[in-house]
Amino acid sequence: MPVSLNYLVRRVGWSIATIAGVVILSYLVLVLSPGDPAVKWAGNPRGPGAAKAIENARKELGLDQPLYLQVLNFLRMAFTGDLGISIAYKKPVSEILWRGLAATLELLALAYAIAIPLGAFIGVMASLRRGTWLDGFIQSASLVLANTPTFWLGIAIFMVLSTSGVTAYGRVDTRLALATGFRSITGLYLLDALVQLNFPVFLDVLARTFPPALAVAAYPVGVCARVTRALMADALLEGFVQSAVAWGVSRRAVVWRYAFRATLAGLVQVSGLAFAYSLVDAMVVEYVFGRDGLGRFLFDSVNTSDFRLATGLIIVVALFYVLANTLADIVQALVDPRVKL
Amino acid sequence: MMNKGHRSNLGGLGELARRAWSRSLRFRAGVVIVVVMVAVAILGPFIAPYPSDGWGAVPPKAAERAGKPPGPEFLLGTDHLGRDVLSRILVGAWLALAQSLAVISIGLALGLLLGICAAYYRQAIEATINYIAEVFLALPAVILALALRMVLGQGIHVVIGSLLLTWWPWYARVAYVYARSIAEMEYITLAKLAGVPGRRILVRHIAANVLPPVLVQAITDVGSVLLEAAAINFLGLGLPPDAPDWGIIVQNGFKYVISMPWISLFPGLFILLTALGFSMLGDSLREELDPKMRRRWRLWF
Amino acid sequence: MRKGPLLAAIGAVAAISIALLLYIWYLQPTQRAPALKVVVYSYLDVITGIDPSIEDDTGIVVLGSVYEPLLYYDPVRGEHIPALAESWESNEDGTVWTFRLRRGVIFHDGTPFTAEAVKLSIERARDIYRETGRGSGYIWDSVEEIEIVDDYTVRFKLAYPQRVDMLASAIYAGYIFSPSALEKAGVEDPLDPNLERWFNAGNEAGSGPYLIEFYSPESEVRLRKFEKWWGWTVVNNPDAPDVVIIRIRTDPLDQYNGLLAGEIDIASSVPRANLGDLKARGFQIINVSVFHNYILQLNCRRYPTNVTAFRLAVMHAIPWGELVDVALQGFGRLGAGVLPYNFPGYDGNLRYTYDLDLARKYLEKSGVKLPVKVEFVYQADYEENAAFAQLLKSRLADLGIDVELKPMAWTAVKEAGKEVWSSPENAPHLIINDWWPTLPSPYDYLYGLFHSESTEWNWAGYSNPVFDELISAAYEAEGRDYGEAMRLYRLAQKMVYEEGAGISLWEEIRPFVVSSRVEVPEKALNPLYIYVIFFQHVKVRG
Repeated sequence: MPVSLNYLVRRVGWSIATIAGVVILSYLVLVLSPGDPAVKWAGNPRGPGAAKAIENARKELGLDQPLYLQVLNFLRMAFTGDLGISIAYKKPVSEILWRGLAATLELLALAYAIAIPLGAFIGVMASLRRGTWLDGFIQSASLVLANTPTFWLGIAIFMVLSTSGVTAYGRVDTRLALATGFRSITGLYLLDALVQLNFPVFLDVLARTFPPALAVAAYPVGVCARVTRALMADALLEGFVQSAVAWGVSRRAVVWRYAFRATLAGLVQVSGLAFAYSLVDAMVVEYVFGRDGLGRFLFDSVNTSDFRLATGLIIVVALFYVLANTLADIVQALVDPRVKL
Repeated sequence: MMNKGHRSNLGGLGELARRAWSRSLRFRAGVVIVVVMVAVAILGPFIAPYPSDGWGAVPPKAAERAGKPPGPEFLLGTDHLGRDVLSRILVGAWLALAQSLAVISIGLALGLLLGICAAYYRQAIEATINYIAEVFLALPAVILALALRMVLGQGIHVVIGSLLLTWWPWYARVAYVYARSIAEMEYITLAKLAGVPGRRILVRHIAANVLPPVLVQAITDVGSVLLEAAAINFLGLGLPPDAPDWGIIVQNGFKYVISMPWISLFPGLFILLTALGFSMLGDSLREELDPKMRRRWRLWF
Repeated sequence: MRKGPLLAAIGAVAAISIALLLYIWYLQPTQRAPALKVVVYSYLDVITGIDPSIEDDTGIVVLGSVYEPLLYYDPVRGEHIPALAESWESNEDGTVWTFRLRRGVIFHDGTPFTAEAVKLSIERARDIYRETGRGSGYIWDSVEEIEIVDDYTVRFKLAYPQRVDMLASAIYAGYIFSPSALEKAGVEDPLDPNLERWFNAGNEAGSGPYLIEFYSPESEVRLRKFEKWWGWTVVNNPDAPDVVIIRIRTDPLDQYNGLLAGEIDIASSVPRANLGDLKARGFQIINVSVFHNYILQLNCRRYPTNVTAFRLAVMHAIPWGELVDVALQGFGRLGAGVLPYNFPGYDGNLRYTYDLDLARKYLEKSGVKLPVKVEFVYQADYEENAAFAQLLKSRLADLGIDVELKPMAWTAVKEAGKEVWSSPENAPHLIINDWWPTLPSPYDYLYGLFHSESTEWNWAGYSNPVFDELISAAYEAEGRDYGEAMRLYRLAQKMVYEEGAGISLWEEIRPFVVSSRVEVPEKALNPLYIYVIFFQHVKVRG
């Protein structure tokens, strides 16, 4: 075991502390936002029963307590997965957000299933042909990809598809889902369809997720290609690779089994970082493609002044960020024995 | 790496640029793009064919002018309210650059200051600054924009504020890591023993060692910030809906993307081109500065 | 060493053949033919609630299919359509009304429909309004007592003469729910807030042709055919949908895309610029003239719009001639006064002119120092509002009035508008309210939008005791002398016009877009029950 337990504990502890900070910060959004949440919660009453209704709502929401107690209470709730009830939809925020997060995760997962192998492959190709036109082309292309506004790329893909008669819209064909008795249990439609052995729905979901996933994948493809190229260039010069060549190991084996493997740790870490970064891209692209994911709540919470939903959204996204970073760091530490911090 | 950077300082940056210019095609392309964009940003309101359209005013007889495809009269077409898209883009250029440059310059200054403070004062201040930096690193700018939008309402403060809050921790980290390693070096200890104030040494070394690579990084980051700012505005979290911001123009055109695709297409191209320009500049400078330098900050804990 | 490529090749072939097999299976026609008749209706706003007694907003889209009132009203033919009541009569002066109820009706949970349900439902709507001012229960204000004569007869006793047949066919506050709801929600008192919560959690107790199967107000509501509905034999429509999906699509482009993708059958709002394209693709476009107008309200309680002359200056700086073409791309009619065209009490003369000189004179008279900044709140996802806002901003800029645009979603617009009463300084100066009538009476508009007690919808903060008295007198006169009532309504409407507190900007012609899979007969749409599609009349083609 190359990673010390100490490192793991410290890393995880630090992440939990970070999340706690975000939770407190997000509660401030709730407190500082204009308008009285109790009035909203009571449904804007007026007339003789209004004052009492508002007072009851205030008690129910715990807003009659001092601020530090409210924050502590909210922290406790948040760490047990309870983010309160949405003001606009009158449903538990965690339930609403989970459904959205599942859709977003599905999109992200597919995007990265495309991006990492593709990016790595392109990067390896470029590194093997350093200085040629192909290398130059790959480098420029990945630079362009990394600088393309994702929302705009999404619109472009969407437009090209619609004008050519193909529409990738929504997550699943409603009629097909109803006809085949498809039921969403986890919110991850691909997984649900597989578990239920519902292949028509599985393929339909896949076909609809693919175009937006391409838009989300643009940035990580560029990043992975560039990172792989740089890391490969180093790795190919390393002693053990050189000696493998000297031992007469075949070229393909040298590239993939030795040199590429040495770049994996770096690749994992960079894609972990990019993965978290892409979450926001995915949210924006979802909006373009009419998918009910986290992205919709970005709008809806602002537009409906649903502070509870906004608070929940902030926490969920931060949680995702921290989780992705922590995992990337730990995996990196596991894979790369040189990281001993 | 520390020792190597010793000789370089801010003046060395000019030298660096000269080297990059002579060697790298990408650098030259980047310079051209950035110079053109800066020129457009300054001259935009003057060279725009329909300046008032550019600022968002709906022209008289809007219904007749609406939805014209690109042609000789309106080079990039008109939007759904009859405004000339080219004018909108040209007038909006300064806004794009102003947003990103403001964020980077303030973020850089703030980050360096706080990073050095953390390294110098240690203990409680160090822990606090690092912790706050960590919290803000866990929040993407778009999400912070959401929070600011809810608390303060729409406006440019949302864009600048949210980006600033998410970008300063990066610079604080670099500054902190460098400053700490310098502070722990033997000759600093010796200098301290010799009575030279530690703070002065620190500042001088930071200026010499940290600034050049960080400035180079900051140039690349201008592109990233521009992309994020455009996304925030596209989502309607930032500037008001008639502002000539490129992200907002894309958003306006999005509803009509099937019947009038040019409204969204062109401003998006400008965002891409500008971000690409800064990226090319920064990247080629960085390669020149240190071929092996990578963003390793995250490794630090 | 040589095994690698071979294995890879075998793997690739296997993967490709599996994928092919799956794809062929996927294309099997038997798999794809849906056994159910499904209609997907896309609606632009989130559902604000489905409490049958309290909801007075977008919940109508669901309520209209799940619950039934005593009567419906057809404003085109001017006649009532019996629903849960079969016949009704009133005494001479219109203060006692007797309704005979339909027999053999059951609610979705199997409980029988009786007079008790009518009494409970209507009293709840009335009392909630009396207690907390919420909902449209004010329409029942005149009702002193609801007497259960027998299981199938109810008698309304009124404090003053009223057309209870009109009230009973109101689009809100008249839905009848089963008394079993109280038990299910675990409450004794029908006014207990927990009952409202129970409803809004997606539960219902209606008797309509469809029942709620799945309720997610932010994204989707799924309705299923209620086989035991009394009316199926009456409508005699074997092609009625088995499943109705109301899909919330807050972006018009999104609705357009859904239509193209075959995911949406009926769309309420697509970008008007795309209508031609849809027509070319074989979609049917049903232009419905609805009693749905957009009313610009000016904050009478905040500087500078609290100055009457300033308000009139703004009114004369609105480019009326361009409105319909720019904002609605021709799909609408320029508004006048407060009431919509063809509605009782409409007055086409109450229009302002676009006259900058006059506007400048009013400005001077107002004494407001220029430049001045005003805030304008409107609903972001209504493309016509967004276009109008930018047009207005450009024209007011000519006068030196700087308009700050604040687009919001419907629920937030509502919040902002209501603030005119609690904190006028935070409420916007200009706001677009859109209104469809609860009752076919001018009172509904004038009370809702401009009465000083209507703090829920009077976003102008307009408070004028003379106006209040006028419309109250008119309302009470309706049952007695209809002509006199209309005269009073006209007077009241003119007051609002002269003080510039608000104006109907336009009435829309709403293009519903329908796919070729579905047939929407005329009966399925009623301009009074706007956005409700009576799905029992909709035909789904095989």
